[in-house]
Amino acid sequence: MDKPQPTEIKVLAELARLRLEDQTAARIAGQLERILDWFRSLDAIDTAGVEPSPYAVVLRNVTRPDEPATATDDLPHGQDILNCGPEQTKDCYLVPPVLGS
Amino acid sequence: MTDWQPVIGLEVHVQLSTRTKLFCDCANAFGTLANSNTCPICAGHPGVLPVPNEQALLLGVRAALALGCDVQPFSKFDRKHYFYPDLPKGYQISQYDLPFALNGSVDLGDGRRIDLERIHWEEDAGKSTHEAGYSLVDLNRCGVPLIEIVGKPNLHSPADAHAFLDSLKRTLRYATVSTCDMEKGSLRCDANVSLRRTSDAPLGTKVEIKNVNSFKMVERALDFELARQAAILDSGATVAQETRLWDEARGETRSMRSKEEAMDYRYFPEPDIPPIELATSTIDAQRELVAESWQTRRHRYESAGLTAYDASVLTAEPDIADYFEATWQACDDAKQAANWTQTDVLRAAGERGVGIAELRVRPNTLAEIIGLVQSGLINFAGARKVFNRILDANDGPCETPAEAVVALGVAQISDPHLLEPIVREVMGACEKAVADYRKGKTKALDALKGRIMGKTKGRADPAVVGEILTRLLSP
Repeated sequence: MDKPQPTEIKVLAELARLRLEDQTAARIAGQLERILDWFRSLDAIDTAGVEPSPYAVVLRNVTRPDEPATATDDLPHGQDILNCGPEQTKDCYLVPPVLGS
Repeated sequence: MTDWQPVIGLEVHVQLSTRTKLFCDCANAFGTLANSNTCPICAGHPGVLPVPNEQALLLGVRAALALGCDVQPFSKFDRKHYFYPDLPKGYQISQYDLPFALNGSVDLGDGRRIDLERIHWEEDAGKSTHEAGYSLVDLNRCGVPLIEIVGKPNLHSPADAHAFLDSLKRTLRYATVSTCDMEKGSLRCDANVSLRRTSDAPLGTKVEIKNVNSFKMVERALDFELARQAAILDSGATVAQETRLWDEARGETRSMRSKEEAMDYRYFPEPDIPPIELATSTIDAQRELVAESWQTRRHRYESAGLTAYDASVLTAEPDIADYFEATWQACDDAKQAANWTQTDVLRAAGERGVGIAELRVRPNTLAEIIGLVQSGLINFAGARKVFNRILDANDGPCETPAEAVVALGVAQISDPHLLEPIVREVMGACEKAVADYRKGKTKALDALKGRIMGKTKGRADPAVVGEILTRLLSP
């Protein structure tokens, strides 16, 4: 497998909304290569006949009934949650403009 | 424009009618105070555990069965990553490579079927409002359960796209999985649009149109976009692959992002939610709950002698169809039940701004009123007075139609011995109409009938009056 290129690191950083200097990108490329190498040790395992699965657990169908929250719930709701935002107005979170300027 | 064949595919998001959200127990409610229906789960706080709402999953299955899809015994949730202020987690929990339903189709009602690709469960995002210099975010809608229905690009005109949505809406409302109210955003639609030279040519470059939020808008947005693409192609240029936003105020689509800026969603399996296995018994139980389809009902109504138009109006909404059928069953007269349902009943519900199921005149009562007309006790004008009287009665025990007939004094006069003197009196007072009729102006008869009805305060039996008049007027 090819070693990760700094340009690819830039794309990944962009997707994760991280701002990376060229130097940092080069350093991370090296680190990432070592991480990938470590995962490549899995390639040595013989998986012939093993069905692929996206999960490591055997749990299935963990669901809950369609019952609304009750007053006894101790989770914060509504205004408590809104108060976690840095700025608010008109009962809404105030954020920088999304559409152009 | 005639040189190009439009190719349209629709992706429809439908909010499911549950009490709570998809992954938490916040209320699934519309129109409440901004940011009042939120908790750490739907607001995407770190360390929380989303747990799927069983009813939301089942309503999705029911919708899929109503659309003839193959419900999958095994499916899973995935994370779809993108950044937007109304998606606080930075990813949407959706389904990627193993959706819970495949195939199926939408019946356009004229013999044509438009195939579906798939249906999957996913959570809704919050709502952003864009103001000058800033945006506002309301997270109430975050986590509301949705199904996304992906249609194949087999539609070839804006009118067909409209028919597709109309049929889809009827089907989902009959299956009682969603209100499908576009105005309230419980049904939303994105369209993929391209043009090609002939029907066997390869597909042209497609443009995705977002923000199409009413049935009227769908046709307008598609008309605009098809004309825009045709003009580009006619000039010899090529259409750019991009996502465009429909701007209803300006009546145009405008570029939102190009192919180069296309999203890389980095899907991966949602590690917090174990996969979903649907047992055959679970699927069959939902199949039982899929009501008779609107297409089958429409067919049955036409077989009972109703016109295609009447059958279409009566099947527009399941409550209308149910009201009509209950009335029909109770009075055994499909035509009368259809006429009343389509006129007085729908008008009464419209004027009062209530659902047809909430009207004070229940189908059984309406059937009794129709029965009184059939038996000759009242005529149509009297029946309408009885209907309106019961409709506006106060709460409490209701008068029966027969009691209302007495209270209103609208019992029909059918006895020829009582009617003949009145007919003679009117003929004496309207010599001109009598002369006109005898000269061959048959329309003069209506004027005479009108006077007789007036004299009897609308209570005369029109058929008996007609007989007496014809007898007395014949030379």
